[in-house]
Amino acid sequence: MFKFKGYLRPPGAIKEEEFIKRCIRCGKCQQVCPYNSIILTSWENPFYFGLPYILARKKPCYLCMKCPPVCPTGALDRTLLDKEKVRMGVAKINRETCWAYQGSFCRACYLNCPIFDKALKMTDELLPVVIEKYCVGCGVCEYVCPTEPSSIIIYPP
Amino acid sequence: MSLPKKKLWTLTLYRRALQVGVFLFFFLVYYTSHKQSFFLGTFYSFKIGPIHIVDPYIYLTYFFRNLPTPKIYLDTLIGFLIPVLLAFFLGRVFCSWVCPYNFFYEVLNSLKVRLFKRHEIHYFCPHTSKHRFGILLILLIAGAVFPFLAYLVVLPGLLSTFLHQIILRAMNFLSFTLLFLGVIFVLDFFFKKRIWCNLLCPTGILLQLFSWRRGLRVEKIDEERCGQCALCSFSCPLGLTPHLNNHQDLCFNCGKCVEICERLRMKDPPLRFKFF
Repeated sequence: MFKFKGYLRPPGAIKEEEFIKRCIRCGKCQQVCPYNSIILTSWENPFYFGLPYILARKKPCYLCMKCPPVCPTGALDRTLLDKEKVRMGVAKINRETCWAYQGSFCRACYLNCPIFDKALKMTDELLPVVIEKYCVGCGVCEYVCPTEPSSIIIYPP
Repeated sequence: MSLPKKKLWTLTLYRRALQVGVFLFFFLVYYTSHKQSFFLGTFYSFKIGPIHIVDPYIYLTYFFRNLPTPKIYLDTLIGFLIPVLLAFFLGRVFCSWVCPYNFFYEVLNSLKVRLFKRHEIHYFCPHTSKHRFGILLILLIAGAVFPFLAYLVVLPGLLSTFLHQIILRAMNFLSFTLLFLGVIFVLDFFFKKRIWCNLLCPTGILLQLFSWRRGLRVEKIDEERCGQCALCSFSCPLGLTPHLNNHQDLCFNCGKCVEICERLRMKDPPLRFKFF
């Protein structure tokens, strides 16, 4: 069953309740995003109208860190420039569908992780494991996962 | 009655040029935003260099909403003061010279007159300012309590965001916000002339509130030279009555009345812009 897991906010976003209060919906983060990863809410949820979010399966965040400095109100933490300190969410592997856990060889998420060999590790060079302490939640792993639907999904905090 | 033709580049043409220029400029900003980050944003908040210019209504609701845990950035505060100072000295010039809603309204209105030969209904607005400040107070409180509401009632911001996204990025066209815009437009266009700009728009009322009584304003200087032809009142896009000299509460300094008075009375027209 589909369960709404919450919106994945741009890097540097503060707590969700605070974020809704602080964001003034100016759309600058969407404008600077070079990959067009950031989307503004329109009809899906009128109560969240104009708030930026990221659909990792469609286009993940590549952590260029251009959006936090242009936020006028501190909805995104302006001082955050180090991409390893971002905490957008935590990835979770679905071991029922993941190819590596089914017995084939797949290293897609491991090889594409921007925090390479820290946030995602291969036990015995075979099975990917998320190290939650280092995972930034950018969603690149969710984007590159070859299974449909993705076997590794970001859960926002 | 035909008016004598005088100058080609009148005040209205300058105003149109600025309105179109600002509108195109925002598209340019949207197109080039990946390459540069000097100019960024929409009418909610616009970034010029290090300064973030903010809509005063949006900033005030943001401020009240976050009173328990305030976080004030200097560049945003300066950006809040710029429109306030502009309103202090020049009145509601933002509404008449920049605001995209006013631009669309005026263009569609002139199209209506030209295409369908349907003449405007001249509705002279009652000069009540008490209701407006009550409405502003309600909107400020409502915007501070419900965050989403504050962003729906600022038409310049809404229009700029959605037009750019619909035209350039192919957003979902049938949106809740578009419905809201449509309702306001129908209300404005067919029922009561300029009800939104005159009585409801929180940004406009706030700019009016901040404006200085002796700043830029239209005033009837010479009572005796005025022939009470009331052409100024008929030309007013807001439906005010400058010939009775009671328009100061709602006037947004577009200069249409001054222009028509100047065309009619070449030498010292009784209706003029006045500063200080």
